[in-house]
Amino acid sequence: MSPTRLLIGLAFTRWRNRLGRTPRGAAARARWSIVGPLVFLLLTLATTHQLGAIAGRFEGAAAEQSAAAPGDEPALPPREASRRVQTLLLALWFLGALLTEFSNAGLETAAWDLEWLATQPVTIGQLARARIVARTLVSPFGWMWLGPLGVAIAWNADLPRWLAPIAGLLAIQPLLLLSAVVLTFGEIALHVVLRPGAVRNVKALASLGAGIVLFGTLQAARLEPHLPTIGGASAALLDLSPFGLLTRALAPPEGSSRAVAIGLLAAEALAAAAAGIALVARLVRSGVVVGGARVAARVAAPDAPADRAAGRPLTSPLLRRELTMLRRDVNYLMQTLLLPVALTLFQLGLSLRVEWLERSVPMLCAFGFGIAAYTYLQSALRTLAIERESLWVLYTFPRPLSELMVVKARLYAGVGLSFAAIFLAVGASAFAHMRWRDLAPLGLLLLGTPAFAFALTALGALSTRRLERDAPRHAPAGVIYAAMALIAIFATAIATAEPWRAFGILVLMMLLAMGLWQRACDRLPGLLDPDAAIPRRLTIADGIAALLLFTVLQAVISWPAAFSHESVRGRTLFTSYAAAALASCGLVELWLRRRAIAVLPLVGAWRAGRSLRFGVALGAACGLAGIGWQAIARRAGWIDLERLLDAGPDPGAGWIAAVALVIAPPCEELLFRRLAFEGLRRSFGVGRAALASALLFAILHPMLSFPPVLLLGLATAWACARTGGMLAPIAAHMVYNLCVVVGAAAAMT
Amino acid sequence: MIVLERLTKRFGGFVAVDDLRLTVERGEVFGYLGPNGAGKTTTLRMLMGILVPSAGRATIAGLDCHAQRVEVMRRVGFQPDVPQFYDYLRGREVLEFVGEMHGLGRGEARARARELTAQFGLDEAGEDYAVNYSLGMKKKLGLACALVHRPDVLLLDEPTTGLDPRAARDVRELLQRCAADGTTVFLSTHLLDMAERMCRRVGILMQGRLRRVGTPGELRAELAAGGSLEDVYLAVTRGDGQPAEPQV
Repeated sequence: MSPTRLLIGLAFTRWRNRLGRTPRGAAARARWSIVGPLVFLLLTLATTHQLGAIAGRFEGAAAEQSAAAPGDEPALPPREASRRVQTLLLALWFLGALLTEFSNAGLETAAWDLEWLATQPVTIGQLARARIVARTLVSPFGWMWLGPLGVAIAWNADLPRWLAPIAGLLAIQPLLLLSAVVLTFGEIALHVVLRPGAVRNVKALASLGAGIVLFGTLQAARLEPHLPTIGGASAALLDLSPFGLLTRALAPPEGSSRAVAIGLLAAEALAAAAAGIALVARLVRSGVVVGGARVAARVAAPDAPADRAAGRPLTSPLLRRELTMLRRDVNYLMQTLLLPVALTLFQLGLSLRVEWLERSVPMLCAFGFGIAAYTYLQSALRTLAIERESLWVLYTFPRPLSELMVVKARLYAGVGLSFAAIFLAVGASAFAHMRWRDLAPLGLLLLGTPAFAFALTALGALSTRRLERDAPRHAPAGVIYAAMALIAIFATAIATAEPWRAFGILVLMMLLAMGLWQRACDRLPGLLDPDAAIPRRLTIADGIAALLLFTVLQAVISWPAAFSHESVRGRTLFTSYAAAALASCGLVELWLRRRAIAVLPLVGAWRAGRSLRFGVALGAACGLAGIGWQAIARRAGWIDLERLLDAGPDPGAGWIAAVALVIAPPCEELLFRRLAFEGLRRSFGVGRAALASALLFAILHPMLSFPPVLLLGLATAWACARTGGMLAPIAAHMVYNLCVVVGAAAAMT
Repeated sequence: MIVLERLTKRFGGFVAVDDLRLTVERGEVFGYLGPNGAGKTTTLRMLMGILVPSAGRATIAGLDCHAQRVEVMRRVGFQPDVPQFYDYLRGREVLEFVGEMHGLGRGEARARARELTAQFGLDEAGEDYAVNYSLGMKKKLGLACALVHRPDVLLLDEPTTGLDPRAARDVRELLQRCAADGTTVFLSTHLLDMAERMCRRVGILMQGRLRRVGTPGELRAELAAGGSLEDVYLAVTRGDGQPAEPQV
């Protein structure tokens, strides 16, 4: 078999493996063979539609022009105007395809395949030829960028409709060949001249360029119709370029021959290919790795920096290493620091009205948070993925890995906060309209931004699956989307925040960050071990998830009853609460068992009788406090007893009492103490965890009962920690509820 | 100093390391031999706390390598089989970074890095990005990283692979000096003559099980009278049925 055919086969196989991840995965391959064409089809349809619309607008504008000035020099015929636009678009998309292909080629890897291919018994000329042909045929980005546009141009031309797809795809072949020539030459030139680090930086610039081109083409519909009516020498040049020839071949202007255009196009492409092959051969005349990699890396050593007095350094070595890499790795630098700003400016300049930001502090804060969060997507979320195969180094240090993560998260939080601050400073005029309630979004921004740095760093660490040589440098797509959803929710919350709701969202987000962090810390020690059976530990995330599950279930179950008669409300409350409690506690129990997560047993260090006595006494004490609070509230007039008495006896009171005495205590203790308190306790110790879980407990109860419920929360948490089991807190909760119900009933009668 | 107690590691259904029992004394140079895929690197990684044992445990200086990883790392220097380094860090910077992470002051780390690069003949390459090094240079840098904090225990995965003959001899001498100073050296290798010259004892691992442990002299006397360690190795790894009970 000829080397060319072998190399083409190699290119195909590599792309297939890259797309299908597992080469043998039939499902993955099937998915790609369906998804690929489907995406292509959708792109083609969208492009054809858009191109038709744009061409129509330009033709219309040209017709108007010639109608407005009939006597003057002949204006551009309408069809010619639309062909010019197509030519311009084609040139732009060619550039986009080239840059995308370039930024996606594995050019910077140490094992550059041409270095290996050169050891095969083929000449460099053959190699270059084979490479160019393979690149022409196997050029996914080229096909995806240029294919739809080619078909769209053919569709909008006078060709028979059935012929359009074939003609369009055939017509782009010379462009793909050109792109292959440029790529192959560029790749070899870069390898021979630059060292791998620099190649990667060039690639980063290419990806930025591709992004700009993509953005530019998306904005093409906004172009003013008179823009592309260039004339003179540049028009002639454009017409003779491969792009102009391609549009001429598909839709020849009156009086010009299609065959000539096709012939010229083919000749140009082939000449370029021949020139490319000759240039490549010249480039590598003294070897494929002439100045590459190691040799070129031998830069003159700078003078060793002068020794400073040994002292305590101001910054941690990890932070300094991170900053050094950020400074040298243009890709990392650009994506973390420059792209957020560029994207925001684009957005503001093109699709949003700046007046919004000038008037509204919440909008300004939401945007500031958006920029910070974008930097996190590129940095925090990749916190371990960018370490890749060097991660083992971190494992050799006598420091807990969580400490290393804290250093990184702090750095990201600092970057995020600086971005937010700069953005606020730029939009400072909005503060002239500031109201008191705008402190809520501002608070959310200032506290949420660092919290997100920690949450996303943890998420990034959690999502790091494989750390092999070819492991991706990005988090998996699912994780990126999850992070983006969280960011979007929080940004919306900032933009619309009411102070009380803002507080709730902030608490929830902090707890979520905490939970992710705990889970990441659990996972880190076994990160390099795919088969490690690391025991799962309870995290606060489990508690939050269980609480949310309970709330949602109860809301769903009681929803139909919201429209029913008042007399059945008590029963509905009972049924919905009981069902939600049973279901959520049952599911949580199953989850804990399946993951083998250790939690507090019913009876722990203390024996059952002793726990029970302790719980009852504690509950009675809290209950007395609760009755006292009821009396105070009545005295102060916070409870309108008269109105309650006038309303007559509540028909559902029995049901409500049943919930309070039988179902709520065990369920709430399981949620707030066994999951939330215990989840917090591992990171904060008993005191602070008790306070935090009691606060959460009290916030979710009616505002009026805040003080006694807070006390109960503290007492039951203490009972948990003291007895090492759930019996005492459940008993205490039951006795407290009994006291309060009896107290209320006594007051009513 | 190093104690393996029924150490086992399974990857799914595959048993990579099976029920290892071994004690390495302080100041001993222990050679860990075995064919490719026998489980040598897996054992070293478990000692480093990078892999979690499926059963049993490994301790260094009485500290559990997994549960007390941080304390263990203070005492251990590790050189992996193919060390990989950060893309945008120079060799000298890698060494300084590692030194500082081990608690050296900035100036101290710099001095130590200079000392080690000179010792390993890396001074010229110290200003290159470490990712561009050849295998031999990466191994040297890896060994320098392992030595930077003067550890009590050295865990080395094929320390002389890829080194030129002079560098290999320098490394051998260096390790012997370290051992004489009381450092425990646990090294995996394929180079039998090196093991024979350097190691007080060797262990031969095959299919995850430790088939033989002893001084090279003992093993020669037992398995290949008048032969070399190579003959012993070939006899043990022939795969002739049941594993022998390890003699620890």
